[in-house]
Amino acid sequence: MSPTYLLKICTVGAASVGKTSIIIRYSTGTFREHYSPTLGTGFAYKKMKLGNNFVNAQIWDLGSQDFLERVRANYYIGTQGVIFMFDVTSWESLNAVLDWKNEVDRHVDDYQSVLVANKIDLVDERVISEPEGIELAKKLGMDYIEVSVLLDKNVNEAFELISTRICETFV
Amino acid sequence: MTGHSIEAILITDMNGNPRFYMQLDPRAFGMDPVLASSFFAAIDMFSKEVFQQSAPVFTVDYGAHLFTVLNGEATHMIAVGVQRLNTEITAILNALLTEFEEKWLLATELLDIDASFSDVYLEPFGERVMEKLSFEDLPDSWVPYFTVDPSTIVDTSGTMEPFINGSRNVKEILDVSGFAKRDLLLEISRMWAHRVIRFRNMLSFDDYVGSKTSFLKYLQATSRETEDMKKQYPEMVGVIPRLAGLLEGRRTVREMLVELGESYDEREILRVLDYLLEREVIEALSPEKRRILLAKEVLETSLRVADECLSEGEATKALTTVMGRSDTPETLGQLRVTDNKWHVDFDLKLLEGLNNRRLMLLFGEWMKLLAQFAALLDPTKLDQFIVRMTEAFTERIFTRFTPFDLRGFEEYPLWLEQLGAHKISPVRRIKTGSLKPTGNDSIDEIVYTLVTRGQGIYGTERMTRVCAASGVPLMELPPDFWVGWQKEESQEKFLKEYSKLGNAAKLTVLIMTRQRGLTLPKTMSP
Repeated sequence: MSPTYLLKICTVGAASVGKTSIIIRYSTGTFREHYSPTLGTGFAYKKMKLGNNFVNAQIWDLGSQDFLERVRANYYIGTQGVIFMFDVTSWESLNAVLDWKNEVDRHVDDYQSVLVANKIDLVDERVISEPEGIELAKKLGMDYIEVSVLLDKNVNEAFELISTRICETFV
Repeated sequence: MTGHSIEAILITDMNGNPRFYMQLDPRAFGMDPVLASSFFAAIDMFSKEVFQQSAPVFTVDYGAHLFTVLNGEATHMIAVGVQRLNTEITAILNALLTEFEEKWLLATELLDIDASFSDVYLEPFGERVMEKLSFEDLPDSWVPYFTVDPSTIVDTSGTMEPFINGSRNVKEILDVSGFAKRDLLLEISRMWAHRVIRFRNMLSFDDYVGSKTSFLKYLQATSRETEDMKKQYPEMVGVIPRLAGLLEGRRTVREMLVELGESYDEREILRVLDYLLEREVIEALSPEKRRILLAKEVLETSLRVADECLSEGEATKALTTVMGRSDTPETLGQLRVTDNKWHVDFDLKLLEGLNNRRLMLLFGEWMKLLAQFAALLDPTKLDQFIVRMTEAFTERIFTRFTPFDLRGFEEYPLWLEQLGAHKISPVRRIKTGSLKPTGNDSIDEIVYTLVTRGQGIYGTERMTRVCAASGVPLMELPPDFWVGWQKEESQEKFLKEYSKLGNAAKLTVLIMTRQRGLTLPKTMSP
């Protein structure tokens, strides 16, 4: 019988890049129209099959505000995978990825990571191109994927990608 | 008109010339004619840049509106609204665009680019639009009236005309005529397509109304606007200055009527509001602005409660520290000192012209201010602060705001819970058992959120005890095990048990049940 892996994945990134929305979309299939900053930590899970393995992905949605760093520190423990998110319409959110990487590095020793570019549906407002996103991912040693939470494009793929990377470390 | 959120439709040819324009939402005054110029400017911009795209449908965020653009063979259709359109509505628009190109395009006149939108119209096609996108609802209080002599109307069935007299509202028309509401809606949609009908009294009693910068002209005795009003409606001239002080965007129509009820007749006040609304110098707050108002109200309440609960100057110190950490002009610019105390300025003018996305971010900024302010208060007085805030919510906030306004606001009490939990236990795994985030069942969602976030705040052990005390299973169960009355009973009990975790937990339960329109267990009612 195939093993069932329990994975702990955290989503981090600048405010309003869509961290809560991607988790809601992934775990419930719905899209949250309104924005509200997460003041603490949200949580979702989903069971999936990856190849021959069954996976129970526990996804932690960490609030991004500066004053929450002390709170976040408590939730990084045991993290195996991190989704770094940015918004393709915001340079600030891309530049913040480096700070987020530093924060995660301070709290987690060994983890897999994916850089997720969200809001690709906002075609005319987009300021960060795919090559620019890929370049940063390469520099940071991460996989890269572009998603639209609104249009439900590549959302499952993003979580499958990070889960696959984590499972690969078990072999 | 709940089936879609389209305010207006514009069809242009490939050169950007308007070929058809129709306002679909009677409340969308903004499109005709004031916004028209900026709208045309946007179209001009589109024709050069955006229309080059290969995508058949795309959305452009333009100021306070979203433009959904559908590319046809010979024309473009632009649907204007504040929300993204779903696939069903997009399919209807596509079908209408195809019909327009095949059947009506040749019948339209090529007008000059400077022509008024109202000139670019084709009644038969307008009727087709209203057949497909008819009014799905009209508020009972709206008063339809004819813009032409009803005896000259030949394009409608004529059955409704005798009942529309310019003073009967929708409900009264239904009562008097005996028509089914659907029939009334279809007939009024038809009249709307033929542009023979408009509406008064479009504000709901629960609408928050605020003035815009341009309203000031109506407070100047010598302005052209006041002169025009004097000629047309001299009786309104005296009402407007009295109304002005109530139009700060913090009062509902109902509250204004109460305030001025002794001096003026209710219908007179509503007519003045209609007049000002039609001229776009006042506005009913959009859903996003209502959320901002809610956050501001809660901050103002926090300041007053903190003044009462804490030692002198502590609230001021906390707020100034929070302000020092923020760099958002739209929030900082609305915090004012009066009589040595900080207050929130509720004026709406600062938000004029901001798009929905920016408004959402500003809501987030107000939430940040709220959270940081609470975090800086004396921890030994925090519980007292939360008790007083809960009283304020039940007495004032819940009575003035709708469940829809409270979307996302559970973050605030959850944060208060976090602050009150003193020591945060590091959590490695969250127990969920058979609980699932479904996204559609209200009570399931609340229990799931509280069980999972509760573990983050109070630790898994404590939440396991809460679940055990209420019968919410934190283990994997077969799907038919935890169902029916047993599930309902344990979920209700869970809310009670969760509330016992502290005063902030109680506030969280109050807000989350209110958001979803659920009735609280009797023993928990405020």
